[in-house]
Amino acid sequence: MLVLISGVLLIIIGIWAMLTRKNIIRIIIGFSIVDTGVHMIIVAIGYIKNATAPIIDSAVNTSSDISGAVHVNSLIVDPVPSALVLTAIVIGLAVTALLLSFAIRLYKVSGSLNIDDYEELKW
Amino acid sequence: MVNPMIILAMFLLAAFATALIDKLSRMLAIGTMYVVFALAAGLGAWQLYFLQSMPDAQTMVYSAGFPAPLSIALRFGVVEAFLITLMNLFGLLGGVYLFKRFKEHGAGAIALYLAMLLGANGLVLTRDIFNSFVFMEILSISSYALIGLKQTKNSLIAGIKYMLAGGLASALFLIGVIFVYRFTGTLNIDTWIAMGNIPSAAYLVALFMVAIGVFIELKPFPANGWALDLYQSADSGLAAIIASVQTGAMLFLFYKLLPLFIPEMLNIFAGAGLVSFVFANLIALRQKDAKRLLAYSSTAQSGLLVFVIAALYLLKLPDTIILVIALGLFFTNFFAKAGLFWLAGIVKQDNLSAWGVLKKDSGLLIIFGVFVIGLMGFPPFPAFFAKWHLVHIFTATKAWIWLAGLLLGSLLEVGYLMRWLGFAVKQEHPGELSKSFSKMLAPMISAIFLTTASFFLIKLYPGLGAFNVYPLMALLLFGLVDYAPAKLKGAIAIGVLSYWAWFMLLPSLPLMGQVFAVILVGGSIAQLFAFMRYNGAAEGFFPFLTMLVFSFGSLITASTTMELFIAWELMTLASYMLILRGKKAKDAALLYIVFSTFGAYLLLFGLSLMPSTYPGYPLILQAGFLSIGWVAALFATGGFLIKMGALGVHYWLPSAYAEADDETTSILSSVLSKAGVFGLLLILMMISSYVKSNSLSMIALGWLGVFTAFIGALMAARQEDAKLLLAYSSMSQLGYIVVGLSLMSHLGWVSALYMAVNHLFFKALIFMAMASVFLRTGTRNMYEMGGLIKKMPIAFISVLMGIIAVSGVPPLSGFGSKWFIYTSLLEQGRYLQAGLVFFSSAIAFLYLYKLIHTVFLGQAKPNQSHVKEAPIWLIIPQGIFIMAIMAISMFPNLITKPLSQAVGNYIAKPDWLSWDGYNIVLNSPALHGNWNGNLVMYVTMGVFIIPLLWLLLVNAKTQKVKQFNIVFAAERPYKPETTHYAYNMFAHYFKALGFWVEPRATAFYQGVSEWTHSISATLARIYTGNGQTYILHIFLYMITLYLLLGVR
Amino acid sequence: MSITLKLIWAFISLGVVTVWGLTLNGIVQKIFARVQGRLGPPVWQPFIDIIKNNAKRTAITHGIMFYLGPVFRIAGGIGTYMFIPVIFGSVYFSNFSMSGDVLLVMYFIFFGQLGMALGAGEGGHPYSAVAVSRGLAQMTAFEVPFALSVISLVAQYGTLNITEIIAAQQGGFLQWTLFTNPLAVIAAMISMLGMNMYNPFSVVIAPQEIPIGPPTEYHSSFLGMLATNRGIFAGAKLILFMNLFFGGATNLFSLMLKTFWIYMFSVFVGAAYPRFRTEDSIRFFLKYPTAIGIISILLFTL
Repeated sequence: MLVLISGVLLIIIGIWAMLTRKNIIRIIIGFSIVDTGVHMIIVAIGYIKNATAPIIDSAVNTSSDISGAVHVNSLIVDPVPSALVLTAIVIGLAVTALLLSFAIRLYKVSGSLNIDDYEELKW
Repeated sequence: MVNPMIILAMFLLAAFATALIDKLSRMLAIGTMYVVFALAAGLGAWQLYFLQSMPDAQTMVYSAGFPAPLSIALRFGVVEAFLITLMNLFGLLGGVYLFKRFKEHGAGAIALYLAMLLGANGLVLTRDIFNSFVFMEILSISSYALIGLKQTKNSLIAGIKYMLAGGLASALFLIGVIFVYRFTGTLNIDTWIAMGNIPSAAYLVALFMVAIGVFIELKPFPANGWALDLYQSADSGLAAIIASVQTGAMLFLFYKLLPLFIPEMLNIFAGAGLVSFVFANLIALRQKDAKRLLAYSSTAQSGLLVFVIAALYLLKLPDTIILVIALGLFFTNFFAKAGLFWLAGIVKQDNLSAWGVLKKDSGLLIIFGVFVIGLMGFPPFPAFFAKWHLVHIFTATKAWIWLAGLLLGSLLEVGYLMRWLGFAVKQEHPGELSKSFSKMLAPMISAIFLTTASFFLIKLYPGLGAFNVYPLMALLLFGLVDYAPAKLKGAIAIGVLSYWAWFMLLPSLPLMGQVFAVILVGGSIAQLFAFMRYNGAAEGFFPFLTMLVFSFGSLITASTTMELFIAWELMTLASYMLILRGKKAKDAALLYIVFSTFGAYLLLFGLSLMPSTYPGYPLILQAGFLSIGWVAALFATGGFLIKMGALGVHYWLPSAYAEADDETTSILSSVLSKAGVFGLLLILMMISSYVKSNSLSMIALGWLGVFTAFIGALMAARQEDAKLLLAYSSMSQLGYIVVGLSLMSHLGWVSALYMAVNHLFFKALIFMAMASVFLRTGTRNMYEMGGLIKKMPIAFISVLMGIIAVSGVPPLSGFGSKWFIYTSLLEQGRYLQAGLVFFSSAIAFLYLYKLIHTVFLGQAKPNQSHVKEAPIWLIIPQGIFIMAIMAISMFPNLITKPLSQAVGNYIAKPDWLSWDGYNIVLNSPALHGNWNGNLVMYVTMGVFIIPLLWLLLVNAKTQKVKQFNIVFAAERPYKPETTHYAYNMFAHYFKALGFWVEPRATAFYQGVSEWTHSISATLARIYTGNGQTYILHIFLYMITLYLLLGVR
Repeated sequence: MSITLKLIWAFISLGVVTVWGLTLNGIVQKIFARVQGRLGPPVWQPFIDIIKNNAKRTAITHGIMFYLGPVFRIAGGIGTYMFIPVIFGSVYFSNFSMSGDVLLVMYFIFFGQLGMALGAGEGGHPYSAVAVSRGLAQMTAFEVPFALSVISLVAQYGTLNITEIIAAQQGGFLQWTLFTNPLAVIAAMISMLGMNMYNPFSVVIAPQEIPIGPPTEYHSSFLGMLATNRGIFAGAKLILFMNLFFGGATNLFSLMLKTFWIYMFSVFVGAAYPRFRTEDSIRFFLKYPTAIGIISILLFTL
């Protein structure tokens, strides 16, 4: 629960940063914070209190029936969100990297990182 | 079947291999990429073929050998195969277009481009929601990176805005996905759908977040500032792919999710899509930058598609119908929008008015025309059929607001697209085109593909007859030989059209249809001679002229409302192109097409309310048995009245008539306006079972006609431009036809048809004669002419015959129309209308005298001493029409009897109307009267010839004197300018009655136009250009939609 | 009746109306002169003028249309007359009225006016065109009350046939339209003031100040023809009014009596009133007479 709430909090902080900071780098940082918040939410959703990691080892209580199929008897965390969050992190990383490289290029081309200086395309 | 995994694997492999191959040879790397696209498109096509032969084949494929939800499922059904084919074809074309970029940037660019298409392909195929997210991101990130290839300030900042917006959207999407997973325990879309709705507010919020994440990527107004900047600043080739492939893939994802949505959500998204469609088009109206205009147009189109699929889903229509309609729109949009972006890259001009450079290459201009017209939803393009069915569905389900929004947005779209086309066709610009084979290939193939597909569509569409294809075939064939000399093309056109009219058209029609065939087709053919006067090729006439005439044929023979409407639209299109050909016709043509389209939408709505007809029998034959409701009749009538230029909606008429080429104006006035008469008559036939002459509606229609006649005549008397004068005169004459039709009586309809035939003869005659005058003098201002009777006697005789026929002075046929109209009005007790008709026809003398006096009589101008008679090609039609007028004047039975018989099939001839030789006798209880045109002719000839002989006897030797040999207030004049009483000839008249002709319609429509533009400009202000504002927009937009949804 | 006989009688009737019309014109000239305190020309002056003009040897022309102008004019006059039944009940004086009804007559009146306007136009004299423009403008206005009164007759009698309209007025003078439909007659008589172009509607020919009007450039036999037409056309119009509103005539004597007094109405008004400007006369015709005409129609329809 705490993770979920802090995830939501991070998203709000990130969006606040995106909306109020003028420096493009800071906006990108805001974006990155939002991303992190989203990741935390994903993880939090999959987490089940007092459960173990979804790896069948000694911490997991298993039993086999006659046909030989294995049944998991103890609580384990849903593995899917964890798998998803890995993908999401990679994607977030890629976007952030691209954003930063764009920001650097932009600075090289026009010498400013203030987002208010780039309003030529409008209406 | 094909395993779709192969496609994805192929892309992935190629993307990785590129880096290696590029080291070997860059050309080889690019070639490999093209081969991959071609293979992927081929696999899609093969799958389509496969599924067609085995419709029940399994289309689901599971990865890793497990069924869903344990694995990721892909589906490769008909729709997916269709989209895969199209998208990879597009990838190929777009790739060829970007050839130079690839050559410059090498492996990186190629790999990114492959990744982008991989994302799009995957997005279409996958049935797993998280997998969709991954493909979405692959698609997005590769497109972000591709945008970065163009390292300009605008492009980079647009890229940042795009990434921030895209990132936010995908964050929302991801949160939504994970929460839905929390409730359902699976990521497979089909399993979600199978589980049905989970009655939990939190679930709905999650679902909403999934939906809004996708929706934001579809660039809805007003949360689409980032997309506009992107389209505007990105490389045209890239923008084309984003507008078509990326949008298409996202749309398909949205479509896949539709079954999950509760009705309230569907409603919200349909509404948001519609708002996006209307408002983006509204803002596009005032755009001057071509690419930004395209940007608005693209967002509008994706809004439309979201609206369509959501709305149709909400109406619980079968998937096949939704898909057919959506794909119809998408197909057209796909080709046209991408094509326009590609062209933008060739034209390399930001300003719309600079698109005149396209004229340097007529091939490109034609391609541009195809895209623009396709985008507007004109037949035969698939979007037309989609819109047609949409309107019918919305009418059937009484979804009036959706219908109104759809038509309003489409109308705005026509406005800016046609304005653009006008610039391209008419505006001269010195710039250069950046042409290269790789750049030309993509738009060219798209245009060919789009037209070919449309051609087959209209040919194979169920319920459409062969006649509907003729106009297009004529356009195509004459377009191909348009470089041939005008005289040759004219001769061929006249021959072909005459053969078709005589052997194919006339025999298939009932008498009433034949009457209109003579007016519309016969009248046009007779005037085609005039177009042969041009030396050289005179490009742009014959393709559209023949198209116009053939579309008249399909209009008359139409047996279903769809055929009628297609013919109507093709006719409008052909006439628009002809008007646009005039030298200064840019604005006039735009006005014409906007009014025509408005009329067409009214008509479309009216038609959608009509019951089904019996295919195979012309509507004009069925009209007597069909019965339609008054709402349908009202709207359809509105549509037809616009084409006729009735008072209030006549605003387009004067300028269109004035600015078109002179011969074209003749056809517009004498022939095209009668198409409106045909339509109106058809509608009146269908309501004749319950609407009679004394119905309030018909009395109102009668007054509308009378006032059209009256104001038209007054306006005509005030003009100094001969063409404007004749334009208003046409409007006035059409007013009489409306009055006649409104009578709903045998005599009234005969009078209207008599007037229609007569108007064709005399107006074509006058226009042809005046065309020769304009040709020789080089001016249209009447006061700049004078005394031309001696230089152009044939033209004078034509105009003289014409004005006698217009004014209704016996013995020429004009009196017949006057006699019929008065007797039919008086017979029905419409006394006051008859009085105003009389006043209008008296005012006609003012403008007719002004026309003939100031041009042909009075003092000749010295600078026109070189003027000579017009070429024979203009005289031939005049001869035809003079003979026609003389024939029906001398022997009125030639026309009155067939007309009465034709009308008699719908409204029986009353006993009190009879023919006694040439004497038409009227013995109704309400009115007695008679007219013997033949005898009047003989008496007139007698009383004319006897005094003439006397004068010749006593005054045989007259001395001819020179121009200024007149006694003028004890002074001998020497300057014709001061002696020719011409300018503002009826100043006193308008001093007395000027208040009638204040330009109220002009003020009204200018007001409408100004307001539209102000609203458009105000709305556009929300796009401040600031990236943060755009993020805020997305946020607020999402919250607004959420609140509208009403989920707690 | 054989067509030859018909033609002969038509000629006779034309002769009668020419003589009577010209005589009336002579009388009118005399009256105007006396009102203005002059002695005035003799009553037979119009005949003398015509003979003199036809005998002139010099003649010039500005072109074919100029030459045909007077022909159009007189053809219009004769034609109008030919389409009106002159004497009620007489087969000899019915002309070619079976060709059409009152609409034909109303529109044939324009034939001569249009042709004349065109002929004068070719003359190249600006005053001709000025007068034509005034005349046409005024014509559109005064035709409105006239048309309304004819429509009122249709509402009243249910016919456009002139003979039937006369027939409906038979049986004592109280049966005349004048008494059965007085408003229509008032509207029509006011519009006749405009048709005859005497004061206050004489700005078209403006006889006093300058030579204005279509005949400005016409002379010799052209003028003779125009003058002849004045007689015929005046007679035709008067007979039309007599037929429509004053019970028609069953013999030549009553025809002469009635037409004389109808004519005198516009002559008396013309002698007593000053002149309107064109725009004023347009406004005038479109106000009171038109309103009266509309009321007369409404009275018969409601």
